[in-house]
Amino acid sequence: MKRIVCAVMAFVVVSTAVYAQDAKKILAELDAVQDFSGKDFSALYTIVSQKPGEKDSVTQARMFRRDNKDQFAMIILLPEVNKGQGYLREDDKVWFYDPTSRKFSFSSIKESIQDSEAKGSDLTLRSTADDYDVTSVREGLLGKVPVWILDLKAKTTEVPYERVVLYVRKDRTMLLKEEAYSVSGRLMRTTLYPKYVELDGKMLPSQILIVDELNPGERSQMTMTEQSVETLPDRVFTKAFLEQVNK
Amino acid sequence: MIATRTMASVLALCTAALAPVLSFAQDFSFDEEALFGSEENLVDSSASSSSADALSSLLVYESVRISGSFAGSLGAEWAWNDPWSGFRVSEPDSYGLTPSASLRLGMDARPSEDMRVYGQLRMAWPFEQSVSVLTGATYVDPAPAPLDPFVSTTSTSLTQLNLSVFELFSDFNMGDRLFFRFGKQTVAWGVGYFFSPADVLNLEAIDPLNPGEQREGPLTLRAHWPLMGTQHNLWAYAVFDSPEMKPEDIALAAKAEFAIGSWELGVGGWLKRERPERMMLTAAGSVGKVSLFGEASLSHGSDRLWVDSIGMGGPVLVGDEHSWFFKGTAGFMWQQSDWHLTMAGQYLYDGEGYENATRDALIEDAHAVLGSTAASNPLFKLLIAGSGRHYAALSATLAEFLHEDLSLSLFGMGNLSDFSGFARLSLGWRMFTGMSLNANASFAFGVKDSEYLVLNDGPAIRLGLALNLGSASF
Repeated sequence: MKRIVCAVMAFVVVSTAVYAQDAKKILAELDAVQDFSGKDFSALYTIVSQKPGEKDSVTQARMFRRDNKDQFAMIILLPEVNKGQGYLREDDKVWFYDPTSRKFSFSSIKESIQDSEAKGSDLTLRSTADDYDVTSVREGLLGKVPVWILDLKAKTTEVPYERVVLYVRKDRTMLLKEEAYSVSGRLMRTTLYPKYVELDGKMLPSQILIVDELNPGERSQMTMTEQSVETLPDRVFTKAFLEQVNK
Repeated sequence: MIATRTMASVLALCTAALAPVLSFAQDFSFDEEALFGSEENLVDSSASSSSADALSSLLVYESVRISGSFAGSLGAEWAWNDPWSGFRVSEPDSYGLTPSASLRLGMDARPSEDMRVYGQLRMAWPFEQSVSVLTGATYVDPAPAPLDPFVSTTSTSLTQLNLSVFELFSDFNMGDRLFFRFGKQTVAWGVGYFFSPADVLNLEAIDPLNPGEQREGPLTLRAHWPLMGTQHNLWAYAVFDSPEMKPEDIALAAKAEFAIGSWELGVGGWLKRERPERMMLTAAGSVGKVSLFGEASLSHGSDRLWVDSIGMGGPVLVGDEHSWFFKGTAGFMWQQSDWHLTMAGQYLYDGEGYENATRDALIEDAHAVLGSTAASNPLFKLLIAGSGRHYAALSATLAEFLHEDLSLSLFGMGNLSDFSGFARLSLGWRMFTGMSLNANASFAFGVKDSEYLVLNDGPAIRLGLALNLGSASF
């Protein structure tokens, strides 16, 4: 009996170690998906938000990235009232262009950006592998898709959620579901990634469904289209570009 | 997870800042069994796009695009000039109704990626205005003495459309390196929020009650050279203020912006013949959660005229073309998204203001000449307006207050040299799309002969109601 217990324990230890190794590899692969170093990236994002008792709202933005230089530009296309607003980031510096006043305002990326929920850290590339520890790995099914279920705990306060549970497709590293928990253990947000597109050898989520678990009925769908890794002109990452494209 | 951070940032940036305006029916399923029913359906075979197409979609239009906004409101205001010494609700010193309807119409033509023409017209009700125009003036010398010569004038009344060209400019560039804008345009010069003492280019100053409002600018040729590979920028301006002018009368301005660390620093200058030369420095950045900004301006001489003395013949005005005048301002903005709170504050030092002792002496002189009605005399108001050296403004806005359709804002502005000020508390109610109600109360405070007391005809209380009707952008 002792031998069996020892064998089981040894198996658990070994398999956990293997899982932990796999988990780190999975996280590294997920991190790598977003890294377009050496290339430019652009895409059109459309967000449909639903709130109980309200009509759906639609927001559209075109985004440009040059990871080599840590540059990011984004132009709001919808709704009409915000059309032409633009963000430009380089390193930790962020400029917001307001076409109504025709003014740029500047802030460092450390904190909230303008009148939005976004933090500076939202516009930077962060590493899940660096920011989180894997506390457990197990196998499971999401719908009919076999997945790894990774339980992560934050190593830093820079990340928005203390605990995150990831559901990653087993046969191909694709994040399919994410649950985000607060420090108190409350489920804050569930995100589903039901559609992917392949771009430059990487699998990118093209549809994201977000459920706000704190506010019942509030949910959003974000879709990515017109994705490209073609080289962008340098002017895209300048104030001149934000001015050129405003309404 | 990180693969989606950019998308999440787009979502966060967009959904928080953007009000739901456009709507269309679309439903999407969150049923995990259906979404993840098979592995085959997870990958879309959509082809990647071209970045050139993406840029073209932003920079080239097949036809001229029209955009704009309509603003309609019905405002009512009741004012009590001195409610502290006998307040009767039913007896305001003044009251009135201010219906308004205005339109901004923008035209955007982009025939190619390198060329854009934009124009903005503004019109408001009443659509016609009657103006008095001088048609003749004759010098009359009614000799003999002691009668003084005088000028006899004739005028006529004309009706003109309440329509103006607010902006009209063209964008073009040289090899995507040097960007030009020529035409009537708003100029982005200083970094101040409520006050921008360095900005002498735009035709109007910032309205502290509407600091985000676009300001009318002059006819300008602007050259912008972004130093590629950095976020440093060089800007040059030639400002034209008359359709017929000499080359030497062009105003010239230039500024350089440097992104250094977590700060953006700017240095600039402005020159015009027979006008004071001006230099400016700007800085913007963040400390912790607070955005900070500041600007300083130094001018050799001033355009301002000061009251030197007040006698029976009226005020004697003097200028100063030789002294150096410093103006400086610093401010902050702090936003707490979770509370829907935005706070902004700014201090202004105006070196062109009067010293307190000088100002007090002039007020005394004015009282001696104008008597007991001095406080309501336009000349006295002219003396008092902008007479201080230290000013400050502060605003706090709760975009959601108690309910998501309610907002609350507090604005205060004061002359710190004479400790007078003006405060406004506003409560907004978004009733439904197209209609909102704003109720506000304004208070003027200060000691006798202080700026905001004089300009408000006393320690006035004003109560206002404004119904915004059908305002929309398109």
